[in-house]
Amino acid sequence: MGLLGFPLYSSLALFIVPIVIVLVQVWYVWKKSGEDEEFFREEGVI
Amino acid sequence: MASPGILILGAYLALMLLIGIITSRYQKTTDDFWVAGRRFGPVVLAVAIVASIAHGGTMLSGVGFTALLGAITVNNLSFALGFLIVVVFLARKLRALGGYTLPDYLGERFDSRFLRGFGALVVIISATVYLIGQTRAMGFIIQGMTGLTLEQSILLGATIFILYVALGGLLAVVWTNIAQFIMMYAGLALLYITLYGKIGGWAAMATKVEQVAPGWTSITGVGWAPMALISWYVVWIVAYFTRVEFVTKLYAARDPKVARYTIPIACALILLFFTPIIYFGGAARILVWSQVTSPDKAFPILINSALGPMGAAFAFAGLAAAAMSTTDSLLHQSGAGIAHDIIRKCLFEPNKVKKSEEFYVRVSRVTILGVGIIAVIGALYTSEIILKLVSYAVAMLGASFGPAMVFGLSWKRVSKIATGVSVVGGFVITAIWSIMTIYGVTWAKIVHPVIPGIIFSTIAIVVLSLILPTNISEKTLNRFF
Repeated sequence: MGLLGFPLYSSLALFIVPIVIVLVQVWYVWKKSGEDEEFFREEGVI
Repeated sequence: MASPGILILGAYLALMLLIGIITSRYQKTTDDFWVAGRRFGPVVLAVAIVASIAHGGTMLSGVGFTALLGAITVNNLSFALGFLIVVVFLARKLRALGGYTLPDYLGERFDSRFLRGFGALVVIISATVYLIGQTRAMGFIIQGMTGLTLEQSILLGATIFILYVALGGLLAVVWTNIAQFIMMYAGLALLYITLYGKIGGWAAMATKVEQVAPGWTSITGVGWAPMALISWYVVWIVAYFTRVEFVTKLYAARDPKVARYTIPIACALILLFFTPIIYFGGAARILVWSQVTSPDKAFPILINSALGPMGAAFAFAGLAAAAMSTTDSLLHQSGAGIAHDIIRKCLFEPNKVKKSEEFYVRVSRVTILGVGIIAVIGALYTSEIILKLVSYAVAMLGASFGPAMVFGLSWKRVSKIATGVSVVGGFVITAIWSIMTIYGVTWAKIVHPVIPGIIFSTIAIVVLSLILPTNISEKTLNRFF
């Protein structure tokens, strides 16, 4: 049971896991955005 | 009457030159020339990063090897993981450092002129070798579009990209990258829509390709050995977070938060670029495989068979744009390695030689012209060994700098000597292994050269840092932690 006519493991490697990793990146950036702002204001970078 | 290929290519090259002339007006300081005044937002930067990563070779060999070996050849997973490393470890701190080049990071983080100088040499050698290969690939694409000879094609394309990089620096590189990105994606979209009409959707493609190449859609594709497949994925994970043009574009972000926001956008765009390559690979296997004499020819044959003369010219212009978007970034980086890292930071400033910003901008332009001429000569008269080394150039960079970047930005205890051994050892081992592979040493061919290189550089930096003192001042460490 895969995706777009591909077997399960290929679907995972080609489509599903990469998209999940992009979502993890978005989540990480969102989670860290508050901390970043505080840190860089203290450092005078922004 | 001129052919559609000549007309479209002529308009494209004129646009690139125009961007170079316009952006040349904004080059007053080295900050303007090397990092475009650090003024870019996340979307512009993401598009420029994708355009420089997605080169002509990626499309030609991507479609060809996917057709030959199966869908798994496309490295979506490697990109996503490599970019995750950039988001978590590199983006914010690199931008906060405010440098111009990857050797800037090595010099500043480890208080070391040796590491800056050695890093610059590695960047100059690998970026120039890669530039020669890409310039030659661009020549082949222009030759296919116009009917010019290969020599004329290389000279035509190279003259344009050398001029606009020398005139407009990174600002010209980024704005031409955006135009190239639009052309690349428009060309891909046109081909995808046409092939969709001939083959059907993804499920139909998967069914048809399995009939002509059983196993093509499976996790091991058609004929991949497990070790070779793992090596392939490791190469691209490491290669993509250490790409020098990628690092410079992070430095050009408006602020450290923007650098971090840029990465998921770039990663999503990269997946949108690579995923159609799976479909094109399958389409090539179904429709034109009997005409294909080598994998690199699969994509051009597919374009010519699916599209009319105007459509094919448009798609080839997208390919030429993809090739040029990487050559300009590599030229910019080779130039920065010489003008900024070697001349300014290793020779002039440590010896108290004071020069104006205008002087350094002039040196930068002359360096770009010089490296560009070397690349053209290399592309015209290159030896077989140079062409073979191209495929290992990114591996040498990755094995040399990967652990120094990840550990250096996440672990305060990393020692200066450990980093030196890691960077030099990673490069030397990967280079020697690459040469042994090229010359056919049987046992060396078992794994890709990046594997021994990255294992050595990782073990060296971790073990020696645990044993040796850091030898880095508190002031420097406080900038990063």
